[in-house]
Amino acid sequence: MQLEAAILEEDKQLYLPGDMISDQAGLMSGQNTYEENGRIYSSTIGTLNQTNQLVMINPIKHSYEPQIGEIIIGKVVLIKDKKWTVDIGSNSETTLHLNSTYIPEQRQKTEDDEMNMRLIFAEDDYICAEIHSINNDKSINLHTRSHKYGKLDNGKFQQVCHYLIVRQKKHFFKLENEVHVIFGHNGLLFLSNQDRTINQVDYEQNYTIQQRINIGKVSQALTFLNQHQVLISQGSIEKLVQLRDQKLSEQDCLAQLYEFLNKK
Amino acid sequence: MDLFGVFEQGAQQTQFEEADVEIIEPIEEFKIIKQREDEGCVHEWYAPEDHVKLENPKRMAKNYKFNLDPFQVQAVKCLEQYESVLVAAHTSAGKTAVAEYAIAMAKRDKARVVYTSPIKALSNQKYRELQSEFGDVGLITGDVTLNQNAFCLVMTTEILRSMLYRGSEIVREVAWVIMDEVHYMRDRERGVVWEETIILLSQKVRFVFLSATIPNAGEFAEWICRVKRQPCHVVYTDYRPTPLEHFLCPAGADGLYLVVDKQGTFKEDKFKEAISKLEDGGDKRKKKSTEGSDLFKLVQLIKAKDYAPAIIFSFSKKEVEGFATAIAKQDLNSVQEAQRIEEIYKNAMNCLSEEDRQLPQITHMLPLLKKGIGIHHGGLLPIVKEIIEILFQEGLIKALFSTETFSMGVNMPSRTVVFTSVRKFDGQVFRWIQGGEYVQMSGRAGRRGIDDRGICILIFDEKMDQDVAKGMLKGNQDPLNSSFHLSYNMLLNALRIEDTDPEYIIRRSFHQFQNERQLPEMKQKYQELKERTDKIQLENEDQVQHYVDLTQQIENVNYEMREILNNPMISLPFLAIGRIVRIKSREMDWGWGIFLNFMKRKLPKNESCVMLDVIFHVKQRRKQLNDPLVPISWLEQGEIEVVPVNMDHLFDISTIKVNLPRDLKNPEEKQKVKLTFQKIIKQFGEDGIPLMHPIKDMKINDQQIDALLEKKEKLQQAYQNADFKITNQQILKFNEKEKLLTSQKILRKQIELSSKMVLSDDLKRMKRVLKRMQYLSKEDIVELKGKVACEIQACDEIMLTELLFSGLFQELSAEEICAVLTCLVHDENANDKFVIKNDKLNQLYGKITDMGKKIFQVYQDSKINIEEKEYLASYKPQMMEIALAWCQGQTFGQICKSTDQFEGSIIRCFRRLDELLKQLQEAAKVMGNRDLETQFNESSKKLKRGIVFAASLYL
Repeated sequence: MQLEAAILEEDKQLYLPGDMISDQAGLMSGQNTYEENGRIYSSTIGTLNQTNQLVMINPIKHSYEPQIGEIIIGKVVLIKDKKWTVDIGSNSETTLHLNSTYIPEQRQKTEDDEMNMRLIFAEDDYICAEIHSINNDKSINLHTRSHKYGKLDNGKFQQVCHYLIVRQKKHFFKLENEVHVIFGHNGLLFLSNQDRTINQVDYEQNYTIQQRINIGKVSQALTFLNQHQVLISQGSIEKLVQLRDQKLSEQDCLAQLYEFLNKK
Repeated sequence: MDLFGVFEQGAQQTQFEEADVEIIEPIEEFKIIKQREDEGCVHEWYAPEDHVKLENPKRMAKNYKFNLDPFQVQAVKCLEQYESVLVAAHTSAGKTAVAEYAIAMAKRDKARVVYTSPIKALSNQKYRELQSEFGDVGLITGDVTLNQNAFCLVMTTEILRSMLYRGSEIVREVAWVIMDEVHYMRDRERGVVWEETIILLSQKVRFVFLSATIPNAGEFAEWICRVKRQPCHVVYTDYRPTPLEHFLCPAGADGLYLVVDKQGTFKEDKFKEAISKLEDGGDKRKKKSTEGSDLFKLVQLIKAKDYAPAIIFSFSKKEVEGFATAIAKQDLNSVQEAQRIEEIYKNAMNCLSEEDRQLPQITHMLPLLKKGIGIHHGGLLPIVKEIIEILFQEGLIKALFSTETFSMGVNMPSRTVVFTSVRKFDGQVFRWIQGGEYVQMSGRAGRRGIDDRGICILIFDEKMDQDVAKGMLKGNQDPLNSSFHLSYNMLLNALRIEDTDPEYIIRRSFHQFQNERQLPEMKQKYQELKERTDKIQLENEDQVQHYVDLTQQIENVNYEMREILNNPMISLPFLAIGRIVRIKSREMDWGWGIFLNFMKRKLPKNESCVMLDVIFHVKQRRKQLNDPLVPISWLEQGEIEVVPVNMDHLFDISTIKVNLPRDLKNPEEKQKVKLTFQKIIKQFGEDGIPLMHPIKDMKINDQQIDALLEKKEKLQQAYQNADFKITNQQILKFNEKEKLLTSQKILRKQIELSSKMVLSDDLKRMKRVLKRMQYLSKEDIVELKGKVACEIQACDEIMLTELLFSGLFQELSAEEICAVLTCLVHDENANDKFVIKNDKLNQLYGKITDMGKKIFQVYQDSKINIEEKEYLASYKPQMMEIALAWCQGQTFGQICKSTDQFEGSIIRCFRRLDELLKQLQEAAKVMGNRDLETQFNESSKKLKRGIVFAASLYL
């Protein structure tokens, strides 16, 4: 299940930048490819992905490339021009406009709001948001659709490789052991005891010792998954936490985890 | 008085019973309190039980120059409480005043307000109206975007919906959403957009719904209360500021008959008089020729009696034009008026190019307009349509011929409304105009503050039942019923967003709500049925059951046997003339008769059946009254009749044959036949006539028959052994009980269906399609193709996405892309015999149909219920050549000459095409193909020129 191994195992061809993908007529070039004299070439390192007549390259290791609708967790680095600039680990500049933030009342933002932007999010705050749109210069606009997005506080952040995060239907989860996880598509996860899916003014609560232990376990599991390059989803985390509770050796854990994931 | 004091005391609680068969969990359970109070209008409100009303309303946000009507006062009071309200009133009653108040409130509170309307043209008009009132107003439709940072935005509902899926600052800032003509929600195709929008909007948003006088307004408000968890008021009024008088005008006769007066009483004597004046004789052709002259007379009458201006409704574009030209001999305007018309018209047309001003439709229209006669239908150029609307509002057009479309729109009242026909073609049949349609159209009559009464004239050319007429003239609006259905675009969008999924939307839909509302009633009915069943007491029920079972089985065996024996190959040789046979179908026992003749008859689908002519003894009947034939015993009084029967109903063949006389028409001979038969019956008895034995007599060698005979024997044995002592009454009772039990079963099934999530089967099937075609992964994650399909709203998203991914557009020029795309956006019905002359286009159309077949195959495999022919016919090639010619630079005049399509239809098609091209550019971006994006941009540039995209006069 390690990514490199997976590529070898499935016997997928690896394309390097400049490698010709196809000279067949009728094919269209998609993401990470370019066309020259009727031939399509790869522009990055990755594997081929063809949907009908559209060919594209799925890069294997790369910095995060956002897609519309994805959930990200990032750090505010700058406040300027009614905008927060957010570091989400992508190559392109990512901003959240004041008008794109959620406030409980349904009203237009005023100058007062602009003056008080720092009260909403200050520098070095971590926030959770959704990718709203991508401009032509590849810069990224974020928005916070509802109350559950916004500032994250009083929990544990965990960085993993972003390509390990599995696309799921929901990205706000409650695990079996009562730990609430937010999966940021950019590789940052947030572990806490806050159920952000319910509508509530303040999510923060005091932690019990058991909750702290559980968060520690999940955090360990994430480090383990990241180390061994295993895809991260609700299922894989829960399974791994179970396996670790049985005090298995690292090797046994991995073996059983692979078995579990392959079955799915 | 304190309205809301009553609210607390008399709180009635609507009970939501726990469902018997609970399959889905209810969405948030809370009690809804219903209250009602009438003060000059019906005022009902529904509120969650824990709702706390606001104290101390602020100062009035807006003052009116006129005194508000009671219903307006009520509605404004609700708005001041920051609570949603549904205003159901006639068009002329002044619903707009309520909407304006909400806008004024939003302005006061520095919140945003969105005004949605069902049609682009309506949005344009509303934009202009609101701009003159509030100044800072914006407009967003598929065609134009103006001042989108304004606090008040006018848009089509579709735009608001896509904003909700995509997320937009407007959605976050809007405090009030005003939905005009919300009864449009019952529209089969587009109605679902309203439901989606209402469901997706934040719970903090307050609504103002403006609707026609729908009878189930309360139901709608309760739904809003349930899904948005906020109070919702209904303000309903039947009030018309100017009362209506309804006249009948019999075709071919003189005069008008006042059938419904100002007070709304139906005058039966007048109605009868009008009907009797109708020309006798059902000659349709004759009527057609008189129709024009009827109208001519009527228009003269309107002019003479000063009933102008009048709107004259017909139901087809051709009729509208035909009538208008027929009337054109008259001049309804003065010279000054004609001059003004010319001036306004010329001014408006100046925004067109020199060339376009010479278009036949534009040059031909002016002389007609100058006479005070106007035309209004969907086939007109938008600019012509708008100038006519403006002229009409100015009072310069005295007679406006129009299709139904004019009845939906902004305030464009007239003094008189004329209906040229009482029937309308609804796609399948010519049916009577429905009450709701009549109310909507007749609502245009009577200008507030100008006329003391509005006049409706109904020309009719065929006899009408009084009930039909009453239903039409005094009819009510149809109830607002949900037309919720799923679309692929909705599924993909909902699956893509973190916060929703399709189930979320379906469960909150009005459709689901209406469905669940029937539950308590059905459950009660079920309970009643159960009680009635339990009441029926039967003695020794087991035995009766056994008896009924046995007789049933014997019967079944008999029928099975007949099925084999009735094969013409087996039975026909034994059917000689004069053979006595018994005919019995499951429904009716014809008894004994005499076989006469047979013949084969062909049925559709290559089947055939054999008909037997049999002589029966029937009850005497009066022929001219078409009495049904009733067979009676041969011993009673009756007559002899030859009846053709299907051979399937042949029940028994006897061994007896009688000699028939040659001429059966002779009464004496008939009597002889009767006598012979009576003798036979007396000899053997009615049940004792000897039968042909299948094996012994007919010598049939069939194992099945052997088995059946054996079975029958056993059953008969069992029957005798059981020695039943059962009265007829017991059997009747038993049958009644059985019947009740079956209806119980059916009802139970219905209850189960209703308590399930609606459309859940459709959802499954459609997801299957999406998964098969790689729009969704196995885990319901939206894949690349799905993301592309999300961008497309202007046409069939699956078809277009497939075409995009097949690489078709890559090889095409910008002009050809436009031509191909017309197949997807053009939706008007036209003749089937259309042939594409251009070879390349023909080939391209072939590719579309090929793709259509492929997609259909997937649909079929996924058990989606559509007809292949119907599906393929939804891609119409009529506009292809026109679009190609236009993009290659031909003038509008040239392309109009080359086709029989209406100018308005061409423009509508091109505008939709442009909208689609915009969406395609986004789609190409998602695909990551820059070339394609520039190509679509190129197509859009080629398309966008001249009169087709001339700005609306309202902007």
